[in-house]
Amino acid sequence: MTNSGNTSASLATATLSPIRIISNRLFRNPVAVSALILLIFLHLTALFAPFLTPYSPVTQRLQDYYHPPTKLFWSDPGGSFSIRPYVAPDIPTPGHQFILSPQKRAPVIFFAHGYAYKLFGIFPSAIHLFECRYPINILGTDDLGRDIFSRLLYGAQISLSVGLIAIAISYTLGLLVGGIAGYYGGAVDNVLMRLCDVLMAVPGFYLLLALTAVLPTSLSATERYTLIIVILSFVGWAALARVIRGIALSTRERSYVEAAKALGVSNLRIILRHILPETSTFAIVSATLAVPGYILAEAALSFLGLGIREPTPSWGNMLASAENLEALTQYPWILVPGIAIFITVIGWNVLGDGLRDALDPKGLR
Amino acid sequence: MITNTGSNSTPLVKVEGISKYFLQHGTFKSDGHQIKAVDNVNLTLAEGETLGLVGESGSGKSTLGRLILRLMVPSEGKIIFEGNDISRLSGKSLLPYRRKMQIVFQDPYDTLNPRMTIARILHESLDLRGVKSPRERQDEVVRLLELVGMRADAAQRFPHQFSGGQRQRIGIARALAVNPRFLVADEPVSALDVSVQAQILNLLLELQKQFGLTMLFVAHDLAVVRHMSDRVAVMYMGRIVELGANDSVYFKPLHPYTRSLIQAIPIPDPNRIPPDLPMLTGERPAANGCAYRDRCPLAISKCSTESPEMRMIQDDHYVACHRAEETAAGDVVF
Repeated sequence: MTNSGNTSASLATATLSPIRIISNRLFRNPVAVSALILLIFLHLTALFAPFLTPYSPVTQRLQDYYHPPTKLFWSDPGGSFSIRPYVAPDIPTPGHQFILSPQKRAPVIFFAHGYAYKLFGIFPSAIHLFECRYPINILGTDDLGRDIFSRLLYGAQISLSVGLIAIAISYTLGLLVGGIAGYYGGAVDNVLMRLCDVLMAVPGFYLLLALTAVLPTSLSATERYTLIIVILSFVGWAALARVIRGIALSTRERSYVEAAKALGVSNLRIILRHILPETSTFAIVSATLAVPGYILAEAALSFLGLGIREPTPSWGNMLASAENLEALTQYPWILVPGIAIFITVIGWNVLGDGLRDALDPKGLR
Repeated sequence: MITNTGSNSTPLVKVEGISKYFLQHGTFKSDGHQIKAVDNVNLTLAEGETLGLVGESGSGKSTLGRLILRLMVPSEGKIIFEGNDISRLSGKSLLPYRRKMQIVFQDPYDTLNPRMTIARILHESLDLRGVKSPRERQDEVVRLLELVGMRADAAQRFPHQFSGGQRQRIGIARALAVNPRFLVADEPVSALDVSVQAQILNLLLELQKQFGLTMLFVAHDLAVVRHMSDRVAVMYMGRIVELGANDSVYFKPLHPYTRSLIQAIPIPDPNRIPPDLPMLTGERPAANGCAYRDRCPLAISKCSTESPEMRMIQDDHYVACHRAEETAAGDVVF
């Protein structure tokens, strides 16, 4: 405040910044808030996957392939009720039936020691949320006897982050290229937009397939992951740049942009401070709505075996084992990653819709 | 070439034969049809003077203002500011002149970035003047706001919290923040309520006196221009058709276009019988000769073949009309 003495309380309330107004409006929309909470929850589970999971995503128990979700007993071997669940061992039979031995049940132990890991890749630990003496697969196992719950959470680390990082890269690129093309116009605009046209003229998914197909097989999982993100971003920025360019073209005619020019503000600064903020409403909403596209693209690539490679889990390559109808009908729990994708995509879309309503300029003043 | 020296003081801005053509693109470049937004204009602005620029929509008056400020690149001609030709400068070499020439815009709802607080808007100007320390900036913001009659607590608010007149004041503060010598006021009051117009006009006059500003005052309202200016230039289809001292143009217009503009000013007198004079009719042609000839009651055959040159008819009163001499002598009756 330049002159706090004159500032009355009523004035202070009238001086909400646009960001505050928008967040207030977003938080008044219960559907959008639920989506936001859901997404935060999903991302937190991905972040804390090593702690939350009882098994490493690559640990195999081959005799327990396609094991159904473990039955939890809510009573101790004596039969009295227990809030702490018990797990019973079972033995697979030739007909792929698992014979339980309920009398031998053992309690689930919380905050127990298990496999060693590094939280956030930094803090070494071996504490897990839950462990048990007998195998505990709360969402069942896959064709190699790996715990689907553990793979789901580790897979989330990849599937959820792909969307976010790809958006960050493609939007930086799209905003800059679009902003520069729209602000300068003329030849610069022509060259950049024809480049976008070329990119957009190639069907997106085939371009993705072509680019991932040329990745060498010798790449490590991390390298592959990074390159897939780069490829996804590379395919995605052109359409955005075109829209941003359109907004920039109209914004540069605004008097305040001319005023900045007349003052001698540098072009880059005008683009960053006056042109691009004008596109922010559009960019925020469309970025939110575009995240699921990247998640789905990664899932599709991995499903086809061109994305994240086994044994590293991603929701897409986990679903690949559900492509066989026999497996699908007999072991329906292998569809869980599909449900996770579905929930995430819905969550992002609902949040995007809520943001669009909150950012609608008609309600801003 | 005719130069129009206003008064005996040194010229700050001199415009020599400036033109701006826009290409109307066809399907192919060669179909392009040229539009002459500003066509061979000569002007001189003496230090401290206000030149009013009037004309109908599309006459090129705003374009001329932007050309002088070098917000646009002229197609032809020279702009001489403080004795230096700035018409071909660009980028960094233009920067020292930017601060000396500022503009106030027409639309108060478009002139301030809606996403920035008033303080941030003014900081942008102050940054360019090299006012960097937070303390200095704060003092400057308060000083500027008070200069334009705003309260200091406006600084932390957003443009949408102000009325049109207040926004114009802030726009003026932004322009003055860099201590300019020359100000283009591009219809600064035409979007405002009549009651607010006078306040803004008086503010501009006051600031002009205080800082010795030279001003190009663009408007389509002759009464407003007369209130503000020392001299008036009338533009028609990209050309200046009449230029002279305020009263001289207003009371003794020598160009038929100026005359019809003045006749169009409504007079608030219910008993007054409107003069039975020909009003503006006809379409605007685009060909050789005088651009006004099809609407002109005085047109003669020469008007369709030859473009009239600007020439001095009376003391410092310049007109571009083949029949100006006759008009001045009282030989023609409208």
